[in-house]
Amino acid sequence: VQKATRFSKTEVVFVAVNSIITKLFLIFPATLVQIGKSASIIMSLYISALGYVILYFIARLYRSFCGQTIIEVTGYVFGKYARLVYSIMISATFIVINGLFLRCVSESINMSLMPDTDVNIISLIFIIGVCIAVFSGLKAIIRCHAVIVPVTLCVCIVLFLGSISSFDYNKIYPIFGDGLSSFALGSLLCSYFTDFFVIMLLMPYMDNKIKLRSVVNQSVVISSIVLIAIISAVLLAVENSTIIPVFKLGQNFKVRNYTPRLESVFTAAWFLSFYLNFSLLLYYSCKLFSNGKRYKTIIIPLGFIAFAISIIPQNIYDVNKWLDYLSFGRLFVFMLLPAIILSCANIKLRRKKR
Amino acid sequence: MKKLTVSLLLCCTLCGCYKPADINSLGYLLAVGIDNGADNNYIYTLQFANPIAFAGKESGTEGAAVKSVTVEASSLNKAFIIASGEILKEIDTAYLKLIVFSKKVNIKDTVSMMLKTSQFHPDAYVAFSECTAAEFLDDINSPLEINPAKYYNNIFENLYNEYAPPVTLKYAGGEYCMFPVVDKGSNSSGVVVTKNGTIVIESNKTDGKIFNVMSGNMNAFDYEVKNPHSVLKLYSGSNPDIKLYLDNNPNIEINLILTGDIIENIHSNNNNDIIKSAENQLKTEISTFLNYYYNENNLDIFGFLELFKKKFLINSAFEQFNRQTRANDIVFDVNVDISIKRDGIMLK
Repeated sequence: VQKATRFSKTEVVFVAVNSIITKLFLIFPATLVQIGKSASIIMSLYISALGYVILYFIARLYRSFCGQTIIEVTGYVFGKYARLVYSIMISATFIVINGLFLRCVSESINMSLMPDTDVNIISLIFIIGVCIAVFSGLKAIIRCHAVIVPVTLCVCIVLFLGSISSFDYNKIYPIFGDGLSSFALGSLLCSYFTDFFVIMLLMPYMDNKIKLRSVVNQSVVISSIVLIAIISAVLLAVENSTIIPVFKLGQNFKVRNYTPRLESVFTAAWFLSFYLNFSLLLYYSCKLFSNGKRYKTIIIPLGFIAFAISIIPQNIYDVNKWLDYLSFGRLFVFMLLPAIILSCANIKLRRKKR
Repeated sequence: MKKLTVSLLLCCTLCGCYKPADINSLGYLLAVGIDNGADNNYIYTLQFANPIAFAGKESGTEGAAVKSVTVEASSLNKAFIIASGEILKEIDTAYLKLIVFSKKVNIKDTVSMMLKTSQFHPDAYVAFSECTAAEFLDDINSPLEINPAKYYNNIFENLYNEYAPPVTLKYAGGEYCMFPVVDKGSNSSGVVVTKNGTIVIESNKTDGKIFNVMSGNMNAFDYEVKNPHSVLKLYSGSNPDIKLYLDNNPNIEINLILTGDIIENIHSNNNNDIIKSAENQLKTEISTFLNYYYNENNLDIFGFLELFKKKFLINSAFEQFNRQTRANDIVFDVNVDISIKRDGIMLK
């Protein structure tokens, strides 16, 4: 890795935070509020804590492998075939999930900014833009995060502050919602934090002095604050039946008569945020799928596979259902497998030392 | 490769030219009136702004500030398509201020459809009409306000009209809701209460005023005390303080704290008499109001029973409380406290 492509801690934190908060602008809040009901705020605290514990555990296991990607660690423990299989698994999961998220984004763009444009046309334009970003390389994508993510975080703060006036505080009662059963079901929602996985792929580009644990700490704190703020606003200010509640939150945003129809500004911000996240994940899909060799040749095919996946679901409710099923897969590929791989790697390393 | 990238980037810039909308090619919808039609259809009256006429009126030339189109259709979107063909403009709903229903229409489906689509802003006002909605919209004629959008704001924002509950689209879909009733030549002729979108009670406009006082919609209002006859200007800084107790029956203590000025007093030299009398009169009016809607008609119009959720830890326990049937069991204890800031002209 050349020195020019080293990333600072802030940049990596921004990448991690962005990968998380893009989901907040999609259907994740609707799913959480549907499961947690009046206990959604407590549940978002619980999910954040659970996510942090898992990520902290993974970060501790990673201590001995700073500077290596999780793929390299897999190769070190289980050999090159396992490395290849895991690379393809990650690549496929990225493509499928981003195809589905692409559909969500296109639907929300269609609703707010381009009501007369077909959803598939929006997806197509989007995917062309993403392919161009991937061609420009990792450095450009990460540097853009440093510009866009602060803007998106400001949007989240403005959304929260702007909706305080329409909060119905009675919605937090009964304080434990449906009780223990909903909390058990809500545990699955810690798949929200699986997107921190991208840090494990950025490890070789980080300065050696940067500890993964401190990156995880900062990223989890920032994304948990944003998660709790947005979930509070969605729970207290938006009706439950809305599929993209943050959009509705933007629609409700009003400072007397000076800010009519401000939701399009918010939509534009999260459009950019998702654009960067998708570009990064498509970049890694191509890189992993091609095993690092001539990845540019498969950018367009993989981009269009994601586009094809985005047009399969009939509507946004179907997308929601698919993403629910895939949350198990995400937990397995991005949390459970890395934990197993890193545990085995640590054992192997200790044996070697002896 | 660079050439290909540049060409693709240039393609993206063409998106801006897709379906451009000239400002003059848009019909700005200000109000929608909905009446029942034949064969399960609705009669939609769509009222559009005529911006050129506003400018004309301000500069002294005459012209209708609004133009209405009436169409019969099975849904609002179909009505838009037909109306668009009639006015030869694309309909823009971003400035919609008012949705008026005639009393026979069940509003539930229309309101939930409007809330689900992004076309309609949730802050548009919703009202019922004593006459048909079409007649009300056709008769709009404010003597002193040229801009009809501002005129609708003035009716429902409680700055000048204290009798109309300011119900917006986002609240209109509630289980129980009190709506203002408008009529030809009258901005507030009464109120109606709906249960799941259907009118269950019609009442006079003073109920609307008490509803506004109780729900904190009004910052200031004039209050006439009957004995000794005087007029107060009352200011409510916040919503009433509500305390909930749950024994066998739900008990609610309502403390309404108001400040005010005496603006008219001819018969009494004692301000304390006026204050005591005002407090008792307002307390009686509020108690009668609550007794009528809650204890006699089992209508939880303020959503008080929802507030009892805080007495339960989980939803299943709250469901056993059986909120839907408990409104007539509520025991109210209303307290009104008025403090006078200025004595007015009496002592000067």
